[in-house]
Amino acid sequence: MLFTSFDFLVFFAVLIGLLVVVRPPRARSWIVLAFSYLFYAAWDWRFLSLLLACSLWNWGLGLLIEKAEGRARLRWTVLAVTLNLAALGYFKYANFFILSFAKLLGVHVGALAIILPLGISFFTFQGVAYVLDVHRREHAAEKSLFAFLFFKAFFPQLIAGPIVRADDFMNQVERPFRFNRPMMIMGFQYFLVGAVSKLVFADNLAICVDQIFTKPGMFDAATLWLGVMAYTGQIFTDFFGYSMMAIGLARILGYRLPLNFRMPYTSLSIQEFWRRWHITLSNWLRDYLYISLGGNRKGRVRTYANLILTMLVGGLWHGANWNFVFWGGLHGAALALNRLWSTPWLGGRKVGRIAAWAVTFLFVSLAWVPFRAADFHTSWIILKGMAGLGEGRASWPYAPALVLLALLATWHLVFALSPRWLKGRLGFRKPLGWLAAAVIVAEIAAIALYAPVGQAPFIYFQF
Amino acid sequence: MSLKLGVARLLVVVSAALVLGEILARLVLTSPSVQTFDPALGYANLPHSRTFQSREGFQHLILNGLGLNDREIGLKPAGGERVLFIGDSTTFSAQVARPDNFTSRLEAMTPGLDAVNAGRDALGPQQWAAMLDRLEKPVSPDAVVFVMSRGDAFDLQEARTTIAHDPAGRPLSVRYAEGHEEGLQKALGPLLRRSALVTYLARRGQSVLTDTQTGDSWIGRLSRHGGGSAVRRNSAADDLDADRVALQLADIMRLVSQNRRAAFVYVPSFIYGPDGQMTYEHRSLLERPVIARAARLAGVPLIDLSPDFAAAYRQTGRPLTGFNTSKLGEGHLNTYGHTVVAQALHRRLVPLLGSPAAGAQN
Repeated sequence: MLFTSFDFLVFFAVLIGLLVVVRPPRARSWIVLAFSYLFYAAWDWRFLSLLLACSLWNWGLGLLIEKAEGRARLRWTVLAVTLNLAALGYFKYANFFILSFAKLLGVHVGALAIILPLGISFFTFQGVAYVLDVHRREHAAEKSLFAFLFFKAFFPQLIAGPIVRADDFMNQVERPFRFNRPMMIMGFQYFLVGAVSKLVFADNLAICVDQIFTKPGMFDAATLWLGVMAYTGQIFTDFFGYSMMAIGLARILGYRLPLNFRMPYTSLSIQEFWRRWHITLSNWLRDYLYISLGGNRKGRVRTYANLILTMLVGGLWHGANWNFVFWGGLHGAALALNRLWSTPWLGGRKVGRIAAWAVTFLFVSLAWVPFRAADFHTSWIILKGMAGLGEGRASWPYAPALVLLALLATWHLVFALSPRWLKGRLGFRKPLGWLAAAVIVAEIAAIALYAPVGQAPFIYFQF
Repeated sequence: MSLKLGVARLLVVVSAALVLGEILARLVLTSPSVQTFDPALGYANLPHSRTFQSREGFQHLILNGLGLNDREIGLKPAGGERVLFIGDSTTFSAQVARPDNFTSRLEAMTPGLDAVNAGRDALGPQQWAAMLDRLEKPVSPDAVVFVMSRGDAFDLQEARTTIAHDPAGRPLSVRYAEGHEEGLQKALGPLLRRSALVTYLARRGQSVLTDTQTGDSWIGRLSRHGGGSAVRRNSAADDLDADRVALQLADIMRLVSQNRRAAFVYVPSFIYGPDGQMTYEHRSLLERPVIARAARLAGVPLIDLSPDFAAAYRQTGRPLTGFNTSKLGEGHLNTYGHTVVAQALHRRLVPLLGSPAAGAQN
């Protein structure tokens, strides 16, 4: 059930209606939990058992980890992490590894009939973060089973994040459920911003992207550049839109979820990009993988190796496909190069802000090519064509994509150049003011007039 | 600030938004509807109306006194011939400037030919006879060309058409069921003709409704009373009752070509690929042999433009359909597509019409 579907609007309206009618805070929390499971079951009810099992073993093992000391503590932690990764590995990567090894060995084997459970990458990573936090004594194990089930299943963040940590959320579950009018209004505004980002920007850009990436051999260089820029815009507005809608829905229900994006395309370096893009995943990779591997504490060579390895895993997390691994490797190499560039060894050379932005943006955009393309051959056709070496002759300056990219560029430019006080004015500080009312109406009108007909799933649902 | 004040502000803003929305719609989206309910044709374009669309291309048109996308019908050129082209949106050509559509181009490249564009959106074969009745007297053509494009055979099937015959088995008249557009014109016509915003939203609303009804959502399944899936228009699951449609179409072809010089043209739709390769779209693939069979049964000339399209795409790599505001290679003919059609008709249709006794050609 997509947040942008009529089904979801009905689902959410019924939920809010019930929460208005039922007053006891505890009962309200149970209703939200029940609706969270219903939300997940709407996709495939059989996988509810996986979500429940994942919640139960993380909760139970969390308690055991907290009580244990020394090697026993480590054993329980390893078991908990292994269970999470095994679930992820089986459902998401079994076929990938089997087929890759078979290809390597020149053996023919058929793929297993495995359905990828929706959101598994998110809720297993959430589980790993929880047990490692308990192991490191950064968060106490949750005693209440209800609170833990709620934390794992809360529907706004269940399918595609943000990857919520116990520290961010558990204390909110433990307090009594209540509606908070300013938070509801703010949540509605967040939701609308997300809906415009997804329905107006991402879904319209997708029309251009899908056509160009499906048959890149048809198009001339300028059209291929448009396709790559359009995908650069689409993946941001799609995932940013989803995250804002999730944050907004949670706020309507009185909960705060962490931000996932901070205008990543204004970054002046790849390091900065990863501090602004999919922040909850970046933080997860940093805190639970990069630091666990030794981070930058084990010498220069190990630091670079850790960076690249972390990003390779980050790439693989996105999908069981060598394209994603390659994309992760590109970013890992870029991060290593970025670090190398900043060292005194190379004189810590500085480049101008515009050049730094241009290099970063160009790299990020070009790296999206293998991320989006169906295979390496398609990526090669696109990159070759962009260099003017392709054979395609069709020119397609798709006007809606050009307009949307211009709007996105303006939005980023305004953000990058605005003084702090102006950014405050553009926010949601006065939810019922003239500006906010005009923005709300403009957003609804934009959706009514420009959202393409038909549901397009969120890109990150496949991960 | 109180909630009441907030709501009051919202109402003021909504009112302002509606006014601005109407202005915006007229500037960049569409004109108010220029269609009116017509018992014989379902709906017809209003005479002397101005229309504008931006869904495919960005085009303003002024219709003539008969509601056609053509200049006013005057005297026939001395020694020349007037050919009436009846068809659907492919013929109407709201997507390109009038001088660029295939009837105008054909006229420009054929001295002495007066090509009259009598296209109307979604005009199916079941409505050809009614359109011909309407225009034969004011236009008085020397020949009539019926232009079919992707979906026409499906439209005939969906219209639940019935054809009356005389005792000798000759077709007499055609009846069909009212479609969505006719229903919309009946219900909302006056409002649609006044407001571009309502026109735009009504069309979108219809698409959203169809999408929801045929989609794999809870609401969709409920609307189908629990039915698992519905066939979407233009989807690969679309199916054509070839025998029934071929017989009906043959009857209609006979009916509209009785006692007059007539020809039929099929404009197929393709999926364009790299290296000049193209394949038929699903609907075109199914209906092309059905149309050919109907023309054979009726004994009328049919020009299938497939080879002309294939040659043009192979040569230039430019898809014949699609615009800068729509998907390339989909939807209606673009300016290049109209040029290719005009050249093909100049080469293949004009010689055919030159001989009143032209026989069937497939």
